[in-house]
Amino acid sequence: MASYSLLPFNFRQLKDDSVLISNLSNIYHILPNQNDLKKLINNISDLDPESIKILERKLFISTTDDFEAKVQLTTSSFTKNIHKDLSSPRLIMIVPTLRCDHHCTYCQVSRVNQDVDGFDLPLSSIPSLIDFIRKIESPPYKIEFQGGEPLLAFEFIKEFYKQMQEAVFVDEFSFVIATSLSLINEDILMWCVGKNINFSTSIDAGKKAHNRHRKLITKDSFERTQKNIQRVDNKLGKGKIGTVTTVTHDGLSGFDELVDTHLALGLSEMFVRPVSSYGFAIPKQAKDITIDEFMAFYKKLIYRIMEENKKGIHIIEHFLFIHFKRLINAKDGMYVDLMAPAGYAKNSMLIDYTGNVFGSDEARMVYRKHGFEDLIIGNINEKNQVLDTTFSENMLVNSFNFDVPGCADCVYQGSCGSDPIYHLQEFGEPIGNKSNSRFCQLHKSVFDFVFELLKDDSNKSVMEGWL
Amino acid sequence: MNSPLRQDLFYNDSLKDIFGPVQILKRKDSDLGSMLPKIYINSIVDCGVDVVQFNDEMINQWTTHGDIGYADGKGKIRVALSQSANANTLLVTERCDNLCLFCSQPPRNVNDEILFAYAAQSIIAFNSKKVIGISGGEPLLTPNYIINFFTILNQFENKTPLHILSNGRAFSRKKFANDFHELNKERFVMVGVPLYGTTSKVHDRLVNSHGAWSETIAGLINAGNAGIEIELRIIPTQYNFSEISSIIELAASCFNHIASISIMNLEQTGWAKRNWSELYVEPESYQDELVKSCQMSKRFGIDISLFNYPLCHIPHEIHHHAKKSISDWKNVYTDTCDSCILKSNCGGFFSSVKDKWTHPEERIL
Amino acid sequence: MEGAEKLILHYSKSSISELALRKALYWITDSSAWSLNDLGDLWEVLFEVDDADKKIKYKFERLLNDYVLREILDRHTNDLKQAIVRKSLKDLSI
Repeated sequence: MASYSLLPFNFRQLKDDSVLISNLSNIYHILPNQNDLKKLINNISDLDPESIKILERKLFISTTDDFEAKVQLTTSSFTKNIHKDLSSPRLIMIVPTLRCDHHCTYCQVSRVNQDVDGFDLPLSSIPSLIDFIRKIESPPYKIEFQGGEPLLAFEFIKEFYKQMQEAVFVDEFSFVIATSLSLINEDILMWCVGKNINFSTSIDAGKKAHNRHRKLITKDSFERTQKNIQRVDNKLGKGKIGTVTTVTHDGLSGFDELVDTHLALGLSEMFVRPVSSYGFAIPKQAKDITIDEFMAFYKKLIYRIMEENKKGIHIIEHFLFIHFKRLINAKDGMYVDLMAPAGYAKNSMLIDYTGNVFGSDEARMVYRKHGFEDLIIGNINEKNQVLDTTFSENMLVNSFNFDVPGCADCVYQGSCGSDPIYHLQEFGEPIGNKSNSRFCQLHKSVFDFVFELLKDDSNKSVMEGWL
Repeated sequence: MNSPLRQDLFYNDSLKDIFGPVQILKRKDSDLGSMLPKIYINSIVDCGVDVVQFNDEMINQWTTHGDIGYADGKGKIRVALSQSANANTLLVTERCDNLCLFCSQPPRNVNDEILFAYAAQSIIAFNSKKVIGISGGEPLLTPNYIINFFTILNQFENKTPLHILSNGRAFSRKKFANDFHELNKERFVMVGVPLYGTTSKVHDRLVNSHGAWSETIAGLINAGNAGIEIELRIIPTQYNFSEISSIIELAASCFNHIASISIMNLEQTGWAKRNWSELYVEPESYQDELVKSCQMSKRFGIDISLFNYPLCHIPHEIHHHAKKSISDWKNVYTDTCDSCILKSNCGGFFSSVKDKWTHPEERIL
Repeated sequence: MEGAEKLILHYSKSSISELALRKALYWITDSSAWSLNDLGDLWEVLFEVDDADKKIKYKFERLLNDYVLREILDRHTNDLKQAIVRKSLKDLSI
């Protein structure tokens, strides 16, 4: 009779009394009930042979002979997982202007009006900017233009592209322009043809929600967005636009309409998240929806999306998808908000309109509201730039989540992140109290939901088909 | 069955006193160095005094100028490296520390260090940009031999890419793994390492060597960390067909530098023949597991290929993973295959199959 | 407090450790005020609840059960976990 030993694992009871377990290799398995969990912990041989076989294969238990090798395997995979987040190439964000033609009530960047001076990056800063990027990162360069409204600085973007192309190979960089699309015109579209440029725009749940939040002067923002999406599709082909949907109280009943809108516009890439607490959004809106309310909306949305996929219509919701990918150690499992360790400036870098360099998009918003100088790690206009990384190292040390109260025992530890900047803002220190952390509650709920979906093979096929 | 597609063994009286590797030339060629002795086949002009020169239609037909052959001293010559072959492999030793139940080259405990020297000379003389396979026995059995081998290749600045078959156990020593990687910085090398189970129980049984699994695991970890590119090989048998996808999940989660994964249908050669009924399992019996395994390709971003599976024996949805791969000197097709529309994409059957075990299905017409 | 009751629970020290109690209580903080009192042989846990919220006992005891199980699990595997994590961080710093 073989004798088995346990390798370290975490567990969580799911809603239907089954028990989810995960190990340091971030491999998951579902035990049918609490009894099996007790057997696993107290006397492995009490389990049925088929379960023992599977638990051996998935590195939860080991025979004496295999123990040393299985510990080596676990260590190797644990290292690999941390290294993945530690070494992923940064997203480079550039804010060419803080000016904007919209007045959104939940703007997160404290935008300014379009006719104001002094809120743009000058064209003359482009050479230092490119030098800086090439110094801190290696190709392929993922560059995202944020604002304000980046299309108000279209001349800057054009010039930046031109100089970038001279400095590196054209297939070594890609652009994403985050925009409302309200300023799309023929010139811009013509210029984009044949270039590796995508757009990211927001579509909110429900026309009224969209219009109420994004108060454009002419009050018909939604209809204009629809029209402009069609223009981009016609000129540049489908698949060039990704959408982001921020859910607030007004949008909570609009899940079907949200999907209908995407389908009608021929959009296949969605990304849905609850409103967060940066920039203008606090204090009113952030507490505006609870995570429970968001999840009720979100589940209905996802079930609708599953239905569409099963009918043969290809539409992906990326928030769910990234959680799924992280649970299965998939290749493209990188998501800036779900990283652990999550060093400041480790996963993204933002250069704003002043030339100041921040370690994340959220940090520049926090700086503009609260002025923490520590958040600035440099300025591209200063020669011989040496990045001040002390803040980053402090954050990094506090952002491993395997040793932290609230996270150490969590079954999703290997898949989740730590988001120290969020916790810094909410709690004044990077770890925070996970028991009332929206971050924790949100991601735990979504991970739970993924397993709920996976119980049904047809949902599993849909998500695997997205890979 | 029809005969295999390419011939590689020849006889000619003129070769009676020639032993070891030679370079086969069709004309005088001053570009080729003097690494190996030369033999001139079917040359129009006289290539000089004291050279081995003769006409032989068979050899001429099946070889190209610059190919390498090994002569046995009794008139026979086997073409070892040929530009017209779709795969070139050199045997560097017959010794091995495993005793796989399906070994296609059963080990012999002989002192055959000379084979490494022949291989190095041949590779340098052949000077190809196409991959050459290195196999055995266990090529990495004696670390010094392989290190010496690479050192010689480096001395002559040879950059021929190499694909080395190994059980991976030698890499359980970290220093060797690192040295191996260091010596090949200027050369593309991939090591094909078989892993047959997620536990020692299955793997050690199949390779018939206690402790093999643990060493192979340690070896794969060290090799991956050293930066050595690995092609992981899995052979489904009656003992392990239900855990193929588990092996892949384990490898993808735990090892670095897994360049590709090959699932290889058992070939009826060597020891596999006598153990056939104990080992062989028809692809139809585990086709779900095969499909599940192939799906892991998208999940982990690793190429997964099926080798030696005639298309008529695997589900349609994984046909694109099947590679037409068998070395051309083993390819054969049955008469039934002539009416199959997929024939040109299919690897066919092994010549070793000898009319058993083929059961070609009627294909879509 | 209008309508507020105190829910009082007792646990024998020989079967439940203080740490398991505190870990379970960590997750209750959001839903209810609590206090933990040492009564010699027993632990006393006190919750401030509304009349309707007897769910808190169920939620708390499920958490507590889990943490007691985790203590057993940790006895088996915690040393190994620390060793793996240490080795891993060491490998990463190369």
